[in-house]
Amino acid sequence: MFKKLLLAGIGILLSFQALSQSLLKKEYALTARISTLGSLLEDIQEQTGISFSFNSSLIDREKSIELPSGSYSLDDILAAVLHPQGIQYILQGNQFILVPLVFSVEPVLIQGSILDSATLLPVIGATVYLPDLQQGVITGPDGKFTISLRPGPRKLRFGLLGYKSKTSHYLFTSDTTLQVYLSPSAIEINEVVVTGDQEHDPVQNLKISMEVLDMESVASMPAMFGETDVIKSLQMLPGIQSGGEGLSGLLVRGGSADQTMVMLNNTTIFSPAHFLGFFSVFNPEAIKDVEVYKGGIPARYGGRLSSIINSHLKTGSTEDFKVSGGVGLISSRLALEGPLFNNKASFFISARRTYFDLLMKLIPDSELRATTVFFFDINSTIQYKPNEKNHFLFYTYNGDDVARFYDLLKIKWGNRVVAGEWLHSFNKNLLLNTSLHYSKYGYGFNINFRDELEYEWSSKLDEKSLRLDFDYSLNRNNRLNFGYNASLRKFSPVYLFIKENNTTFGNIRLDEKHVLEHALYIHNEQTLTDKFSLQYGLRYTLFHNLGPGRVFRYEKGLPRSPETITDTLTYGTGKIYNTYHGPEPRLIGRYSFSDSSSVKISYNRMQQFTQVASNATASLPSDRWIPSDLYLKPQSADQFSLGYFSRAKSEGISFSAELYYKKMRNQLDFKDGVTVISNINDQNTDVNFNNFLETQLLSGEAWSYGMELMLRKKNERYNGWISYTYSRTRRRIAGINKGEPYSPRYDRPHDISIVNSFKLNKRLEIAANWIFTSGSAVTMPEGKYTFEGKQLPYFNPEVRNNSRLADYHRLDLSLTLRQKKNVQRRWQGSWTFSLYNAYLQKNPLFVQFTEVINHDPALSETDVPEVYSKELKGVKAYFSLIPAITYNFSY
Amino acid sequence: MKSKNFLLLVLPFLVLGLKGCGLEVVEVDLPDGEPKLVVEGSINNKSGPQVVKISWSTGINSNTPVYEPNAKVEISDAEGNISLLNYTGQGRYQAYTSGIPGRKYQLLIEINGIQYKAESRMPEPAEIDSVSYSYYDKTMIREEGYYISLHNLDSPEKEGYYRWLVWVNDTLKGSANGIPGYFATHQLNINNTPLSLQYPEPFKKGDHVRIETIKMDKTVFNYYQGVLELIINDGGLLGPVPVNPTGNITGNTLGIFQAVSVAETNLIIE
Repeated sequence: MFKKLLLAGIGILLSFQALSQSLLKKEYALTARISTLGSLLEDIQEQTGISFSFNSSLIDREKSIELPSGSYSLDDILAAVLHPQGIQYILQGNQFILVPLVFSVEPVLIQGSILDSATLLPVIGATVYLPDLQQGVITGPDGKFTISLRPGPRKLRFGLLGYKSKTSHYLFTSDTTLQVYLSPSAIEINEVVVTGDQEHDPVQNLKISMEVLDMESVASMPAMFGETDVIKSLQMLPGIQSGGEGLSGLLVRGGSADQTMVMLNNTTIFSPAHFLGFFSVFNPEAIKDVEVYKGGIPARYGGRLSSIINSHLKTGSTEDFKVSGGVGLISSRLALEGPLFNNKASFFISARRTYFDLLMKLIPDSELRATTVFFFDINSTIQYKPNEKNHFLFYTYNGDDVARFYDLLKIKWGNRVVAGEWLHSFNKNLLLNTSLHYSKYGYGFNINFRDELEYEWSSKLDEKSLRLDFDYSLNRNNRLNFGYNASLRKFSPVYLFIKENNTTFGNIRLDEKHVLEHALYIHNEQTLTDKFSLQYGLRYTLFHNLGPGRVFRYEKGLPRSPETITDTLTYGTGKIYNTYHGPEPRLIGRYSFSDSSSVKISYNRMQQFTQVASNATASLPSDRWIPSDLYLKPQSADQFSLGYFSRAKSEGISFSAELYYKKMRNQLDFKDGVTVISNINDQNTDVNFNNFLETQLLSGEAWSYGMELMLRKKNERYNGWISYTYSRTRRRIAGINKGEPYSPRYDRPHDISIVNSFKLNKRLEIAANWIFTSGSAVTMPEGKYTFEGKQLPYFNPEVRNNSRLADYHRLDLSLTLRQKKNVQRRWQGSWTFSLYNAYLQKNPLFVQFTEVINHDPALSETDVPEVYSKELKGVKAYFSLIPAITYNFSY
Repeated sequence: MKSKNFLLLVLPFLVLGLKGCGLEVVEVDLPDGEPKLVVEGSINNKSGPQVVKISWSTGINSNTPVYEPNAKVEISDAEGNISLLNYTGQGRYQAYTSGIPGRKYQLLIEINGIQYKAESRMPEPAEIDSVSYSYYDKTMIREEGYYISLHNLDSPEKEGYYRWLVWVNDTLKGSANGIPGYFATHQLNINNTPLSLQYPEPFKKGDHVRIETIKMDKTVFNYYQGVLELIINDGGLLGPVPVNPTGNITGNTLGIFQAVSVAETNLIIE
């Protein structure tokens, strides 16, 4: 009985609150005849029936009102008129009580948390902004924030890309704990509340060179093969480039692809590509948003020189079971989510598979039918929140690329991830996130011609990590993050097995390597004044080469080669035989000129102890990861950035300009003639099959600088940006280009991206992206000659990448048609039609100098009965127009 | 009916998608570098002409070969034997002599007072234990026909670098990316078993087959590997930046001087 009463009471309370809210929103028409405060109050009372109660000494009724006539909400007009006079209004029942705004000058501490209204999970990175004070903070990994304020009535604006932002009014009189719910923005246009400024406020946050891309923005971009892809979308941002068209490597501010750390909820993904990079491992169905750092990297991240990309996984709804998915020409996706254990937990599982191979089976050609090429991936997340203090998250990723030709040849590569997180709050100020991560990448191929030949090649790399991340709100103006990260990596380069005619011919395992990389970090976000904030931190990293392992000693004064080895030192399990360590200071400062403009500076040092040994620009599944060791010194970089951020008062328009300079040391390259395509005939000049890599390495320095401009607009109908980047990247390595600076292939000075998506009406959305970049820097031949009847290009050995391919530009279009909205129906479907490279620009992916037979670059000498022409020509490979269609649904 | 619609939907993609990647000749206007001397020199243990071809590299769009007719060319060994080569046209210099396995040979070229030199040691010829052929039916991975195997080449302790040239009825057969013959080494041979090789192309009944097993040193072998790499190099996207194969001739030259030994095997497929 008591319980029932209580419930009824709560019900009444809730409806009462809702009523108050709606009264405050009530429309009021201000006419010109209202000229004094007294007449205003009377008129409001007359028009709305809400009365006022106040002490006459408080209110000067003759005070004139200077507001243009028009329609206002009660809330707005009262705030505008009364607040400047030091008067607060409190709605009680059907009556406004006017009281003086007299509060102590002692600041109050507001501790709040922002939760997703659907999943009740913390919303990370949301802005909490006080428009009156032009101050703001960002929620931390637990969704919490702290602000200190003078007491009084305050307006707080909460928001994050992907959520409906909202503005709420509070009267703070003492320290307060606040819980705010944000609801995810729905796809329907009319449901998106546009507040006139960006939810994720780049002007006021303490972040520079950083972006958060939500999946809604990603999904609205036209996609290659109609497959929405996170990494491809990131390549549209200023300062981020791809290794080549269609490839998914991320080259950030002049860094190579392996200097970008790609993570899934803080777990390293070593090879984030499917199908040689046409797709990324991030199934759009499973990702909530992606955090990208090009600079200004907080101390909790380390291990890579250029960039950190952290994708956050979706967690399942704790309220409803939901199904969503898509059917495309290349692949299909399906995701399931729902609550578990009395809504205290939830699960999310999504799977995706390409079925190009299944379509190929329809083609009569037997060779095509015998070829199987596909990839699949499965993401799963389980979260459990038994109480307010504890939150558990467990997730896995499993994905493989497979190519098969009958059962004779099989190539396979893929990533495995298993991880768990425990978020524990000791009290409202101290929070600890403990997490364990396991990530493995492997590739291999085997050939099995029955009794005649068996050939197997496999390689793998795994990482086990522990992270302890503390978040401590020291006081009103200081928020500390500190912790410990440790990673144990095992590199197993190659296992090779060859059996020919039932005789085992080779059974070789290259040396495995073990390393431990661990770091302590601390950083503080400090509000110095209303306008000036600092974030400063230090990460101290220790790196050890561990046994079991062996180290070759080479004769001093001679070039290192297997012939000059003088000694081989062998180390037992766990024995530390080499150590590097060093500090990594990080700093960001922000000065706000006003609510709508700020300037920020940053400096960060990064170190990298694990890299890809490759002299190709593109990331390949066969990339060999190698640790720093006695011979290979760790890479390090210093980056300085300066940024100006501003936002127009309305229209959702924002502008940013950043300048950066980055200096990179111990950059890796290889001697001329070293191959990646396995030349197992000569181990010495092969990267993948080599125990003596140090004999082939060169090292030097690199630097990059640039300017990134971006103009962005987001409102209910339009979302897009125009960006222009001017950047240069140079390397200087003894032994290459006569030791003079040269451009790596991806040094493309000019880069323009125009990203647009328009919502024409509730059902129709069109998107158009256009990109332009300078051509890649390449080495062109200076002549040709004939050797054994074959024409070969001649390259000047003293120059590297002295020419450029043609400038690159491309237009992509897409059109999305949604099903008519029907409240009765839970099924929501949409069709997306897309055109990649709509005006069919033949952009060179690469130019190869090769003999062209009978003027047709597709022919080879054996294809034609008579060779009447044989010329050495540049032949470019290009992507033509690619149309695609996808059906997406949710239930 | 529905599946038919689906196929109609898919077909344009299949047609376009499979043709999604195209190849096209690009005319490049590149500045021509300084002409480089190109030498293809060899000496082997067979009797017959030993040939050194000398030419110059040309501009990328030039279609006229530039031969060197005015060189002084000689091949000598450490024992003091010297052969002077005569010019026979089209950049070809030759002398009738033969080399002796195990000896180191020097090539000396002089053009307009500038000397170019190279050295190469001729390995001992391959010791072929036996040769066989057997018939295979057509399978996924091969055409039907007779396949020839060479068995037990050399002792496994020795480094060996090989090239196989095969003539069928006096016609040279087979090439790796346009360079005649096939290349192999048994450097990888961990289990110390002698190298055996099956020639990858089939033969027909009645074929008169002549196999030359050419043995070369590591420098020469790596030069050929460099040539094969260069032929398939895409300019540095999926592989390394293209480089010229590393030869052994002094000065800023292209090409190689190779002293190689040849072991000849003849058989008729019956």
